[in-house]
Amino acid sequence: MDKIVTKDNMAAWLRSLREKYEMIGPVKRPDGAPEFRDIDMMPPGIIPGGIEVALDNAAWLMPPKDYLLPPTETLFTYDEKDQAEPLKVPLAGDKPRLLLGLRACDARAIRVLDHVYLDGAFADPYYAARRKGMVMVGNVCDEARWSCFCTSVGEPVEWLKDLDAVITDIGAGFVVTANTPVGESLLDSSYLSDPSDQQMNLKVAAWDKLAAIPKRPFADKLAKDFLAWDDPIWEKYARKCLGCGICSYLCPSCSCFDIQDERVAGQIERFRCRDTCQTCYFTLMPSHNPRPEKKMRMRQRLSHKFKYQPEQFDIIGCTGCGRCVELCPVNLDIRQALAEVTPNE
Amino acid sequence: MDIQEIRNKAKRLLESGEVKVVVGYERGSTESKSTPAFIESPDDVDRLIWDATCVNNLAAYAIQEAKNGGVAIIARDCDARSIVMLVQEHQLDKDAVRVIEVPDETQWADDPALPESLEERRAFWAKEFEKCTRCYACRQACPGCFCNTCFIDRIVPRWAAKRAGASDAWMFHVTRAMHQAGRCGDCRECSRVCPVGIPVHLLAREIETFVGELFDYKAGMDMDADPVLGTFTPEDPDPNEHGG
Ligand code: SF4
Ligand code: SF4
Ligand code: SF4
Ligand code: SF4
Ligand code: SF4
Repeated sequence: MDKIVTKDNMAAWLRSLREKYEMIGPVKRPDGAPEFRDIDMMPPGIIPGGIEVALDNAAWLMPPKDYLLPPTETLFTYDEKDQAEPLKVPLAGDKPRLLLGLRACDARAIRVLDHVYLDGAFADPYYAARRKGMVMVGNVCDEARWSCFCTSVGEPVEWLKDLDAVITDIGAGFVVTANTPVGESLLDSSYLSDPSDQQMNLKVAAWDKLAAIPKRPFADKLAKDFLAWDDPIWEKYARKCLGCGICSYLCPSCSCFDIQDERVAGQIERFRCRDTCQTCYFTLMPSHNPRPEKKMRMRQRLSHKFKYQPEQFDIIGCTGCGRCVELCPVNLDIRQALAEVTPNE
Repeated sequence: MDIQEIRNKAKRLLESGEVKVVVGYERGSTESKSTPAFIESPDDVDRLIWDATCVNNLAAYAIQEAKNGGVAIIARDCDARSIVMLVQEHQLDKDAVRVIEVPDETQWADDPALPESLEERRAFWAKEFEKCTRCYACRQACPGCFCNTCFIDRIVPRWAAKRAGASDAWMFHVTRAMHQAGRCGDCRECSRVCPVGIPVHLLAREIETFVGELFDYKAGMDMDADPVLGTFTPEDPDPNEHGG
């Protein structure tokens, strides 16, 4: 189902959705960088401007995963003295959340996270609780950033179909496409009307443009089992890696966490927090470090995304969003590494 | 500075066998970025570039590269201070490292103005630390953070939980700044790499100001000087008596 909303009505429509949902969307930080955050907390005036700015694909910096996997999350607490008391397990969410401004690759990243946290016998209850009521509204990128490579790892137009609703900027207004019943309910608003054929053509052109982003030279390799354990490129690229972890902390599909315990004022708390395979402590055992060298950690990161996750879930764990490419402080560009690996025969 | 001059120096150092590798900058994966280059053959020196995109403090690689033999590092003044500091701290053998000096032409971003009153400063940092993802990229990029095991990664004793939010981040940042006393050359890498834009270098700079005032010491200026954190004399001023 498609509807059209004028640029003037956009803010009013979004504001009306806030009555039902806690809205998380891309807004501009004071330093100019957009990030995903709670729009309710923003002063009212900032909404139209903030959203207009952020509905291009400048809204890339902070990954939306923060709202499914908070950087720190309490798993349970108990009272040190009164251990007969049951564990307190806080599960998320009362008001349903609406994530706004997701790009095709962000939608794909949530699909990857769904596999990790919900597939198989052990669905993660914390993730599941957040994920359950979550409504996902995305938009179609107008331009690829220099760092993007979504079409090299999949089909972004297909990924858009994972969203409840998709907003396409057609210049004079936005075409909003509902993919699910929840999406249709969002479109049930007097601020929206039926689009003309010409407006629909513009929408299709925008989706075609997304699909036509040129593929990178390594794209053909991805169908094969192409990462070799002893490829010399691991060492070559790892040499300049600082082990800073930015590439996984800000990766929308990286899912690793550490678990720590803490005792504060008689309360024992177990919480989880972000972890990354790019530090020497990752999966460290009392007697053994499985990846003592940087090259092994580099190999882990790429292999997890391009080999292990395809084997495990039949999905490439990288969405080509370009965050790691753009944010790596030493410009370690995984696209160059992927182009350079010698494919396994 | 002329790039050819840098390349010639690199070439001479490699040809003479004085160093095994020159660490400099080459064009990154896009025009607006450079990336660290490890040049091991005199034939490769033409890969080296020197322009406004060259911003990393390459002293971060000094310890790693010196392990494989001599290393020459292209360094601005602040980066060279890191290298000198590492020699002072006995992390680096001074015979294993050469500095190829380049002028500091960095377009430094403006520093945010810190409020005057202690109260407001506390609020300023609390707000900044609230954003901290605890990725520790600031530490990883900092040449002064050379410990094998950082205090913050220790489980026993544990100094702070690896929790997002200001209160635990506070412990990390303030301690890291203290550990930079006499080590920080003001390269601002810590702030440059921070993915959420926290101006962490201002903390270390504040400590350096105290170190200068109290001990008449500046980080990384003299290879033979004893590092200020590593020395004690009964005459040392007590920061507490200086309203610090
Ligand atoms: S690996 Fe990089 S490009 Fe791929 S999803 Fe993660 S941040 Fe994006
Ligand atoms: S193993 Fe590494 S690449 Fe894979 S999800 Fe974890 S941090 Fe990301
Ligand atoms: S962001 Fe770059 S330097 Fe940092 S861990 Fe990842 S690859 Fe290494
Ligand atoms: S780099 Fe920034 S976000 Fe990461 S630990 Fe340092 S201050 Fe925090
Ligand atoms: S400015 Fe930051 S990165 Fe540079 S030496 Fe000082 S503390 Fe370290």
